[in-house]
Amino acid sequence: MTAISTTKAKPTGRREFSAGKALSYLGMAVVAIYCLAPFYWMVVSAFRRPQDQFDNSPIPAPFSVKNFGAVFKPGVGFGRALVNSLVVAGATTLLTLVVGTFTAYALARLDFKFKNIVLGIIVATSMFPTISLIVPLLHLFTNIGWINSYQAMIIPDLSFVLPLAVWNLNAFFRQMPFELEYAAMVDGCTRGQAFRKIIVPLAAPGVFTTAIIAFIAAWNEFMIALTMVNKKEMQTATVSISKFTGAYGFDQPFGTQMAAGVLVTVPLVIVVLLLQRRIIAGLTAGGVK
Amino acid sequence: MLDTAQPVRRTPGRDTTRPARRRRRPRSGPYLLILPALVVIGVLLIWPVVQIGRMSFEKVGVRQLRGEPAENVGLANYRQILGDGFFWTTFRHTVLFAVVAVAATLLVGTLVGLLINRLGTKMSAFVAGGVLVAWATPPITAAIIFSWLFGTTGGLVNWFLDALPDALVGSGWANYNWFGTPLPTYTVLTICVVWMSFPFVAVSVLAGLRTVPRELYEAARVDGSSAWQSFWGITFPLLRPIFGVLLVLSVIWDFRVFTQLFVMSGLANRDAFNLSLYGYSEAFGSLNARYGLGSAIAVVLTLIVLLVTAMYARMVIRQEGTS
Repeated sequence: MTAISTTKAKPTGRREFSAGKALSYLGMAVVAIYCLAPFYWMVVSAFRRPQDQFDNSPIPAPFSVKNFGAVFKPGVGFGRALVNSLVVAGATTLLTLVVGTFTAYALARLDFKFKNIVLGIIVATSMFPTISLIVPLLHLFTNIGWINSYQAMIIPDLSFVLPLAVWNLNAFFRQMPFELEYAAMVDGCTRGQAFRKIIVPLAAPGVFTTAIIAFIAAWNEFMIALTMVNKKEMQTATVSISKFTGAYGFDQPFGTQMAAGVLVTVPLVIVVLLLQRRIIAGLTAGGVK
Repeated sequence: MLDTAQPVRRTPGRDTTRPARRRRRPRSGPYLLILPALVVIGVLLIWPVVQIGRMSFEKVGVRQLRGEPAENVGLANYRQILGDGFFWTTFRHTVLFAVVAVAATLLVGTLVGLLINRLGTKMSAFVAGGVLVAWATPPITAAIIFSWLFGTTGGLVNWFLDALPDALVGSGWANYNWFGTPLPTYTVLTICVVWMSFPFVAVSVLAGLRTVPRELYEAARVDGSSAWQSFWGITFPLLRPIFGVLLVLSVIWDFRVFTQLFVMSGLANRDAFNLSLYGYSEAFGSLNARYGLGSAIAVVLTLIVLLVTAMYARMVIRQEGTS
C-alpha cells in the first residue's frame, strides 16, 4: 500500500505530499481498527467453544458453532424474538413510509402556511427523551390492554422513526426535477397522477434508502420494547439479548451473547455494506445541501 | 412547550376558516397530506408531554396506573429530587458525559471525514464501509461487546494492558474492574458511544467536504498555508452550518444515552446512574414504582433537551428559509 502511494506521489514531485499520504494511511489503519476490532472480536468470540471463552487468540482455535446452538436452545426464545423484531421493525417501516411520503412530499413541493414550523415540530419530535414518552404511554397502554402487544412497540417507535423518514424524504423530494411534474400536468395528468406516475418512480431510490434507515432505527430500539413487554414470547431480539445475562446460573454467557449479537447485527451490516453509497447519501441528505 | 405545540393545533383549523381560496390550487391539499403525521406527533409528542407534566405533580404508583385517581402533591416531587444530592450526582454525570462524548465524537468524526476525503475512491469506500459497520451496530450489541472487551475476567483490554510494559501503563490490570466506580464506567461508556456516533459525523463532514471546491485548497497551498490553517480558514467556515447541526444533534443524543449504560452498569449500580437511568429506575425499576418522581426527573431531562432542540429547530428553519 505504501509502495503504491509513493510511486503515485512521485510524478507530482512533492515530498510533503507523500508524507501526508503515508500519514493518511496510518490514520486509515487506526480508524479501521477502532471501527472493526470490536466487531471482529464479537464474531471471533461467537465462534469459540464455550469453554474457550477466555481464550485471547485472534482466530478461534477449534472453530465451534456451539454458542449459536445455545442461542437457539428451547427456553431462550431467541428465534421468536427475532421474528418479533422483524414484525415490529417491518411494520414501523411500512407505516413510516406511508405517512412520511405524503408529509415529505407536501413539505418539499407544496406551498402552505406554517410549513417551516411543521417541519421544525416534526424534527423536534425525534429529540424528546424516550423516558418522557414511555411513562405516559405505558399508563395509556395499560388502560387499553395493549401491554405485550406489537402495537405497543410499533406506535411509540414512530416517534423517532417518522421524523427521521420525513427529514430524509423531504431532502430527496427537493432534489427531484420539478419540471417533469409540471410537464405531466400540462399533458393532462392531475396532481395525483403526476405524483403517482412521475414522482413515485423517481423517488423510489430515496424511499428505499429511507426504508433501510428507518428499519435499522426500529430494529435497534431497546427502551420501548423493554418497557412495553413483560412476556418472554413478545420480547424483541434486543431485549432478549439483554436478558441472556445470568439466565444460565453460571458465569456471564458472553459467548452466547456474542453469538446472538452476530445474529442481530450481521444482516444489518451486510445490507449497509451493499447499499453503502445510498445510505451515506441518505444519512447526509438533511444536513448538507 | 406551549409555543411549539400551539401551531399544530391551529393548522388543521386553518383551511376550514378559509374555504373560499380554492381557485388556483386546492388549499386544503397540503394540510390533508401532513395531517396523518401531525396526528402521530400529537399522540406521540404533545399528549405524552402534557401527561408527564401532569404526572410530575402527582403521586402516581402502581394502583394509580390501574385507574385509581392520583393525588396532586404540587411541587413535592420536584422538591424531593432537587433537594436530593443523588439527583445532582446523576445530573453531573449526564452533563459531564455529554460534554466529553460530544467533543470526542465531533473530533474523531471530523478527523475521519477529512481522512476519507483524502483517500482514493477505493480506499475511501473501504474506510467508509468500516465506519458504517459501527453505525449499523445496535446499541445493545455495542454495549455488550464493550462490556466484554473491558470485562474483569478474560477481557481483551485488561489482557492487553497487562501485557504492555508496566512502565507505560502501570501494573495490576489483570483483574481491573471497569464497572466498579463511575469514572471507569463512564470512560468505557464514552468509548462505546463515540464508537457508535462518530460515523454519522464522519459521513456528514465528508459529504460537506465534497461540496468545497478543490481550487480553494490549491490556492491556499500555493499561498503557503498549512493543512491546519486551511482547515480553519476554508473548511470550517464553509462547513459551519453542518458542524452546527452535528453539534446540536450530538448533544441531544448524548444527553439521552440509556441503552449502553443500562447494559454496562445496570439498574443495580446506582452510583453510575445518569438522568435517563435514574428516571427509568424510579418509574420502572422496582416493585414500588414511583411514576410521579420518575416523571419529574424525565421533565428535567426533557427541559434540558428541549433547550438544545429549540436551537436546532431554529437552525433548521433558517436553513430551509434560505434554500
